[in-house]
Amino acid sequence: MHRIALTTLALALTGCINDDLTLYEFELRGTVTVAAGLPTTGTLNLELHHAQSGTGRFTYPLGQFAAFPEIGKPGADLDVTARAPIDEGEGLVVYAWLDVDGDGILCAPGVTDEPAGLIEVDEFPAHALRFTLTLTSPCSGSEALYP
Amino acid sequence: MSLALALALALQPVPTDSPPAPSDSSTAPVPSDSHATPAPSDSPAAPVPPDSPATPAPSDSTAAPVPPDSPAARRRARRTRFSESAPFDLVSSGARRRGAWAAAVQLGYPWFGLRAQLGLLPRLAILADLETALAQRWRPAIGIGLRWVDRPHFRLGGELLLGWLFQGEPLDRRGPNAEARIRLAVPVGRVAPYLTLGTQHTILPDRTRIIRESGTTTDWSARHEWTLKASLGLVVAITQRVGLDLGIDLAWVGAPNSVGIPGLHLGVLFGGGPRGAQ
Repeated sequence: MHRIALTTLALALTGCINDDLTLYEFELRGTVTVAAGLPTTGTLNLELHHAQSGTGRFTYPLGQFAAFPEIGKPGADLDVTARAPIDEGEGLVVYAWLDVDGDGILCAPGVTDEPAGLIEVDEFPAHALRFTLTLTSPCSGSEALYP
Repeated sequence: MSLALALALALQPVPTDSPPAPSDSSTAPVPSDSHATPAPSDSPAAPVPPDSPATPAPSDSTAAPVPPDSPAARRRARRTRFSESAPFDLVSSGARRRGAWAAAVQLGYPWFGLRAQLGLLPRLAILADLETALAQRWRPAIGIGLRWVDRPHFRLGGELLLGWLFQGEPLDRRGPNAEARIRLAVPVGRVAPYLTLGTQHTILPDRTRIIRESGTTTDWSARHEWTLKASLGLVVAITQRVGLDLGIDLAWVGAPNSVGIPGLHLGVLFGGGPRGAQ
């Protein structure tokens, strides 16, 4: 009798839910530095991606789920709290680029030296994570750097 | 305003064009709801209930009495013969009599449907409705239908349905659903052009779970989906119990942030129970 009631309740709930989102909250701390020979002035832009998105045969690399524009300067301690939709992908990749000219756009005609880089955080999922990232590739988007 | 007018019309006494049906209506060539048209003289006379008006004046006819075997009387008999048929009941909302039932199977693109109704009281029926769009979107529902205006050549009624919406991936839609419909039909002879207008509302619950270091919390929220539906068609009564329906549909799912999709349907309508002339 108990099982029937629970099954009925489960079916009713299943037949009722539309968007079912599960978010994994974590705190990410770290620093972003710039490789020698590249500009070091400007503000950092940080993006968080799944390493793999999708399911089954329809998996693909990356999949952004959070962005933190103008988060700080190179070398400064960064501390962000984010929520990853864990049903939509796996893994964690941190991508950053330095906005040298302050236009909010990665490179542009005449601006070809804004540094970018990414790193995969292997410890994910965990609620507290640390990373260190060095930007070594000018004008590279995340899809050009991973995998 | 129009709702108040319809309610006022519905609360009027039953018109004189609806005397009780004779008990052996199968022998009467003229239905009992056919403006009390006298039976042709070359057929067996239908029994007249003692409490019915002796010579009721049809509400939409001239004051002069029409000879029972005149061409005008026969024309009128032909025009109203099927007004109580089961197919016309289905497109008119409600039922003419208690116990009268009717059902329909509708095939079309993109909408398919099953529908059944049973008369509870004069003008009032309970109904069950199952509609689907290409087997991807299902909406079973039950409800009531009330015929507000019941004239031989003009039917106006409303329906209220409560159901559940199921739509699978990739665009999940699940949740309680309610629909209000207005049905207008104009029966003339064997055919009845009709118009159906409906507004459908669905509550779509969403769940968000957040896994924190301190534990998991669950938040619920809800969205609303509005669907407008319209059908314009023609029902042809083959017999008192069977008919065909051909119509065009316009369904605007997710209005106003979407586009309405037109379609068409072909249906078979049938029914039984107490009715007028068979």
